[in-house]
Amino acid sequence: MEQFTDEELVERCQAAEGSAAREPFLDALFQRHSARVASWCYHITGDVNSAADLAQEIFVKAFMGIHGFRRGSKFTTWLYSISRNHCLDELRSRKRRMEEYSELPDDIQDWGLESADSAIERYESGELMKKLIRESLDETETKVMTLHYVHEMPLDSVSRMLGLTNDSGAKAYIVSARRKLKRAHELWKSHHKPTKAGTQC
Amino acid sequence: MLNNRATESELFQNAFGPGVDCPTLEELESLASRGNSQPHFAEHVKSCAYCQTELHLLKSFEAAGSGEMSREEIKAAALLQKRSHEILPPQDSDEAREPWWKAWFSMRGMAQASFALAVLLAVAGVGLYYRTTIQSPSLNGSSQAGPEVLRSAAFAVISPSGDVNQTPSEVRWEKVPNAANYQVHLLEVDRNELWKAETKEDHIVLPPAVRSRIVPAKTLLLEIDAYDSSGSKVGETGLVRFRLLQNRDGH
Repeated sequence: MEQFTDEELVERCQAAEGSAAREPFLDALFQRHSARVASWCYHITGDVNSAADLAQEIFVKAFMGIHGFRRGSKFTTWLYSISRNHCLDELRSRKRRMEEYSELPDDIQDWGLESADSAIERYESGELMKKLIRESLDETETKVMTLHYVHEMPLDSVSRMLGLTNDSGAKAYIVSARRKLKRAHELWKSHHKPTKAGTQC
Repeated sequence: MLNNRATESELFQNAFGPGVDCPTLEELESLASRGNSQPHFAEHVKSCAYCQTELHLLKSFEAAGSGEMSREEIKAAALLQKRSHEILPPQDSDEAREPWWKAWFSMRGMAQASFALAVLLAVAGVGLYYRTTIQSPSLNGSSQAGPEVLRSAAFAVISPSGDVNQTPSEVRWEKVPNAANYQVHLLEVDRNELWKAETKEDHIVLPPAVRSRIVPAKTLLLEIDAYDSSGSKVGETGLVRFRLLQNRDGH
């Protein structure tokens, strides 16, 4: 099997759909990628058993849907998209199960959004925030904020995923990013006429 | 008005989340592997928090499991290996065994004889074909020909596509000849599937729960595959982007 690329192995699986002839090809794919998926899942969960559980579910999902793999795609990218979606879904459902998940306060802070009631105002506030992010945050702060706020990853997962070795891990970067954004926002406000905040970016 | 205010979390989700111009995962992967061959994406990724993070996650996945692994990672991988039989069912020994005809053909003498016989049959077949075509002119018309074999062809989504002013109530596409069934997928830009449905028609109504997830300024992707009655794919739209525009009155 070593002579085949991942994509060739998938093609052979697809050709043998529904028969036992596909098993050796699936096995070869599993042997090639099991350590990758297990290791990546460990970075997400931080627990050996749940990493193995997630990885197992990912492979079952991938092999059940292997007929859907499209020619021209890269197998690792396809496997990544399954792993990513499965792990993030799991994190979100854990978060819903755990009431105490509030590592950071979700305050209604003064971002000048008191009047941002309409969708258009909220959209424009978001655009201003994007500008401030580009101008104020470094790469690690940006990634930490995205993983935590968009992907709803707990802080310990973020720390492992980004290999953060400082004492308080991702939390320190979030505190620093929020402080920088707040400062940048104050500066922006002082340079703009405060008619309707967030509408002049 | 407290409920209408944007909380800090919502604000960050919007600002750090995916935008209209964010490439798909495949495009991002192609950028990572081919570098500057796609300058417009490269430029976008440089200034997009979401894409930078996505690229990091993708690269971390590709690098995972190779090189030095922690003790815990090795344990997780070993545990997964132990469960491989739960993922890969054991092979059926009867099916896995080499079929008799394959063993027959693998015998050297038989293989040569079979090849000679195949050549003989091919020559006879060609001769017979020429004889019958010279003797009787071929009939015109489709009744003689079998069903047309279609390769998986591209077809277009009629609506929604691009920027739209109103939340779409349905998805409509070009009819594909020979298609008996269509599979419709609605995805987020990160390829997370929001909704999937099947229909025999060339359109489908979006349920209210799905419509509620089509929010202003958020790019979504549609992908429709057409299948014939035997279940073979006869057409595909590829990924089609659409986005609900902001309504100036804020609704």
